[in-house]
Amino acid sequence: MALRVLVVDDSAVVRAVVKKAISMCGVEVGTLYEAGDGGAALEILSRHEVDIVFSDLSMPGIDGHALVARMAEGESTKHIPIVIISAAPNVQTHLEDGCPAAVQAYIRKPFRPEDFRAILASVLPKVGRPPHAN
Amino acid sequence: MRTDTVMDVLRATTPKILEQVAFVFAEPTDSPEPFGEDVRAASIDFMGPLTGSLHLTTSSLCAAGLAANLLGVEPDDPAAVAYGADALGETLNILCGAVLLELFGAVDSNHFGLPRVGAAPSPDTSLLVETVSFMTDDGHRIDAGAVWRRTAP
Repeated sequence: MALRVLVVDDSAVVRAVVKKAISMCGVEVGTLYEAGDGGAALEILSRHEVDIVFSDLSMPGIDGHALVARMAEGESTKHIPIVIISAAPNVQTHLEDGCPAAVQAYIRKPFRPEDFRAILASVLPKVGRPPHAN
Repeated sequence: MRTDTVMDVLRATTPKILEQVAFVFAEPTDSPEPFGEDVRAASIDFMGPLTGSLHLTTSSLCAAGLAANLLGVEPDDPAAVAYGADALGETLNILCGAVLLELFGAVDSNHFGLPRVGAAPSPDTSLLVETVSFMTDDGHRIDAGAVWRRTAP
């Protein structure tokens, strides 16, 4: 089954670049959802099944921290792997300091398309997905 | 922290980020061309060992160029024009993270807010301690500025 991806970032430009980077990873992407903040992301997650979430941290309204916490509380969302994408210099501490287990990795901005390939290769087998379409 | 240390980091980091984020090549200049009337100004607040804000100012045309390079479209593409401010703000967001990382490393006490982008220079431009001007290889001026104070321990 093709991968169902949710990209969460308040920048439409970043969402477009992330989508492009994911599409270059050799992974068969089925549906690629977009959300401009955590609230919109939770709305999508309540209506659709998603295999992996890529989320920024700093966003207006429900930010990435709150999104991760809310997903950890939800029975249907707590197992969805989350990859944090952030320009914050301390982004890795979110993986090290009591972050919900669903947060599998982080990508620091500015990122390269290769960063996504490596992350997907690492994360997808953990959720029973092959890292590449072929 | 000496003023010139922050500005040295800003002077060195801004071209790297412009290149990495949007494939824009820029060099510092001491004699920048004046901006036209159509100026975009982005600012972002940061907190930590230093508290203050960073600023990026350029023309709308250059901001559209940033968006075009990020999106992989022509600069006159409607999407590039529409997302110029978004691209400028995101570039500043990434620049802020890179500057703080360079100055302090990955310490947990550094935080920064959301970028704000306006059609005119930020109201507190007069407070800028210093601004570094850059010229891109296609002739656009980009100013990077900072205002800050040391946070009491």
